[in-house]
Amino acid sequence: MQNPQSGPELVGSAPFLPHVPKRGEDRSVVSLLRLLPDGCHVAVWSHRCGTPREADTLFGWMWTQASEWPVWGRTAVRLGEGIVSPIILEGAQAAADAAAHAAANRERAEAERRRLARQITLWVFDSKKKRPSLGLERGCDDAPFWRMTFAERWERDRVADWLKFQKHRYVDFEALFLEHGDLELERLVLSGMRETEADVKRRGLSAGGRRPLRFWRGE
Amino acid sequence: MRSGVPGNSVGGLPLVLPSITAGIGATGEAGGAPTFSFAAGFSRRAVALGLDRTMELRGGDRLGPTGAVCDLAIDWQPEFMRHVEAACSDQRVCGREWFALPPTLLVAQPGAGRTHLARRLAVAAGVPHVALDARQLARTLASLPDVPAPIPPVVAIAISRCANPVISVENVDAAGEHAHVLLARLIDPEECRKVIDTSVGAILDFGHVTWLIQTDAPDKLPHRLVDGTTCVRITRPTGADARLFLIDLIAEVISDRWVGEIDHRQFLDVLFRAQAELPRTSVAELYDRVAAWLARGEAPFQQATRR
Repeated sequence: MQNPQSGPELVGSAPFLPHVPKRGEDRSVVSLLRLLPDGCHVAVWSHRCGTPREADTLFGWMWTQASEWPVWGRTAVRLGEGIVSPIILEGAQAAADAAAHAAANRERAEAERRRLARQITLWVFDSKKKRPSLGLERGCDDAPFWRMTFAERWERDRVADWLKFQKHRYVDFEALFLEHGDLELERLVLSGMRETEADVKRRGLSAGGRRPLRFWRGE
Repeated sequence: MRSGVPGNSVGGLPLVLPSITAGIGATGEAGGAPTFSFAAGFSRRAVALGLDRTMELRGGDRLGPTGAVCDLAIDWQPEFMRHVEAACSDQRVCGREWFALPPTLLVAQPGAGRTHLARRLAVAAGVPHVALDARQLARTLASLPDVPAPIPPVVAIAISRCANPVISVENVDAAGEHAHVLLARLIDPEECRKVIDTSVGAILDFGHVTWLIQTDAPDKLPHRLVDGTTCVRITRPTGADARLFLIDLIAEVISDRWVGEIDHRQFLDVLFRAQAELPRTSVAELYDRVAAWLARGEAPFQQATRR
């Protein structure tokens, strides 16, 4: 398998190939070598970079552009190095800029994903021909990690009346769900709801009917 | 001083067959090309156009593996490359220190780039290129009081002072019988060495000329012409080869038209535009268009923007 470290020895019969010396003073000089019929390599283009590291970067990019080697080489042979230099260097610069831009985009996307992962949202579901349900979903996911299904819609709304004011506990709910499963979480949610309902009723703040916490605001 | 061997008389005139001068191969100290006596006059009077003076046989330094074949590098014409490689090898092995190809039929549809190929070969081999319209050969027949003119390649050889140019023969299919007969004589390995040209009053030796005869229908040419040649089929480059071909074409235009410095953006614009037009344009037309783009000194996209 050819790779940038293989050197000219292992590139077969490629008529042109990039090269950078592995040692010596010219480690910052990147060349485009031409393979002559007698097996010798001659440089048809070369460029001295500021540092060996820059040379390695340029060389690494050139190595990925194997289909362009004959074009660069032929242009250098026919029209001179002056035409080829900006083509290669601007191409490498554009690739570096694109890579930096892509990396920045990736970084932004990752930060956004992390931000969304920290957000847990309560959703209620009223799908046709399905039982009403509610669920907790992370912002980075496209499906709830926990879902609670009910026989009637008012039952689901009764739980949602309490659950929507428990936002600060969603992370703990998820931890409980992951550790003990959905049944345990449902028990916690229902007991918490009943407890709050009793408390609200005792304080005379209950809305009455099937949804005592309908007008409760989490106080 | 002309070198030659006296022979039989032709038409009452003394026939002096030209031959390679004793100086051939003496390239060492002076570093020059071998010389050759291309013409032998009918008399001791100087031959017109200075044809009796020795001429160079060039391209001897281009016969090796790093020479013409390496410089040509047209891998999309493998048949042609093998032909050139074999000819260079023959010249080298036989100790003939100059470039020459056996007479060759370049078979392709018009517009495939046969002339471009011949010119590339000439540049790579270090010899001049001469374009010859075969129909002109038929016009060399003249009767008094018209002044007889030499056949076209003679003038080019006299100007270039090179006895082994590459001659592209075009329009052979439409040239007619007389031109075919004369061309067959010019490429015949025996007859070409003693071609009598009364217009210059000399016997000419075309023995080292490289004849590249362009045709798209070799079966319609006379057998005498076809039998003495090697048939090489030429194809239009496609895909990745097209770009390499166009780089050669652009370089040719820049060299021919003395176009000044061009920058890489202009080069890339011309290259991409030519690449788009190559499939539907003949190489000669493309050459003219590239020349026009480059001569305007601005890239096509700049022209479009200005409009």
